[in-house]
Amino acid sequence: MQIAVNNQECEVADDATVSALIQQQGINAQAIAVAVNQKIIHRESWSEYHVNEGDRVDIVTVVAGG
Amino acid sequence: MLDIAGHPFRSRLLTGSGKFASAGAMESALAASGSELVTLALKRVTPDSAHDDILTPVVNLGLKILPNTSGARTAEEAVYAARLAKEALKTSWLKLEIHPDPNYLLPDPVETLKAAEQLVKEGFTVLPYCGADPVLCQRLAEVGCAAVMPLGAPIGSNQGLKSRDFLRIIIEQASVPVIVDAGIGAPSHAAEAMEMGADAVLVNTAIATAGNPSQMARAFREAVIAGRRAFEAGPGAVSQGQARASSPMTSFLDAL
Repeated sequence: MQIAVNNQECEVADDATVSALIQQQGINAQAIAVAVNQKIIHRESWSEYHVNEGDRVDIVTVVAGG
Repeated sequence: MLDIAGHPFRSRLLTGSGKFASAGAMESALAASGSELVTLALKRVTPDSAHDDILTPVVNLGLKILPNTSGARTAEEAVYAARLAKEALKTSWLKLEIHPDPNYLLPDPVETLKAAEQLVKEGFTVLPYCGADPVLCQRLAEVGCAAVMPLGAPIGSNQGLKSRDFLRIIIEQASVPVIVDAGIGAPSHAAEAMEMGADAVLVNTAIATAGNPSQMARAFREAVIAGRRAFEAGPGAVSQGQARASSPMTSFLDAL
């Protein structure tokens, strides 16, 4: 199914969880936050939370800034 | 000692982590600054992108982290960014910044107040970057902000305290710590803010873009200490016009 990750369309398995998505994207999971349709998905729920067709997923990390 | 929301800080110099040439340069400069609170920003992760390890040096130095909401143009975006920052960094401390204008990066007072009120309700410790507007600073304190961070001059401009007359009023009326943020370009600017009675200053560009960031960080550290000491000592009165002799005007030479 199609979802959008950080505004980029992407294909994931129908039963994909947030954990699977992070793994598939090759993202370092340290100090990141994930939101699905602007709702924060807490780290402890990543392995249980399934994404759905058309979901918009934001994954952010920390960078230098003032 | 500086106290923000019940958290004590020995250093009154807050720092930003942006614009350093390397993580190593940042770590050395932050160490030299003596700062105990450093700002970080958020960005979207790009698939398979190299992970910027900004956290390790910050953690190594034992600094408290203050994530910002840079990039937010509205209260709604800032609240969302704040929630993401809290999840990513496990801190409820937040530098709230909303600046929709890309040229001068001036903060939007209406959106900032709106977001501050919401975020305080959600349990965040909110430190808002704002214009040097005394009325706005009072309103931000009233809705529960832990401090106010009025600007000295536009972000990254190194122009110094262009807003000094309004900063004086903000400091005079403040019920929460006043942290002068943005525009501080030289240690003398930081010292001036501290002599005026600001509780702290936040410096990023002036340190990060200096020829020798570590030396500049040390200079800022010393300037902030000196400025605070001068404030606590109570500066003498300024007089206009005629001189006022500092030596006794005795006439001991008249007899010669």
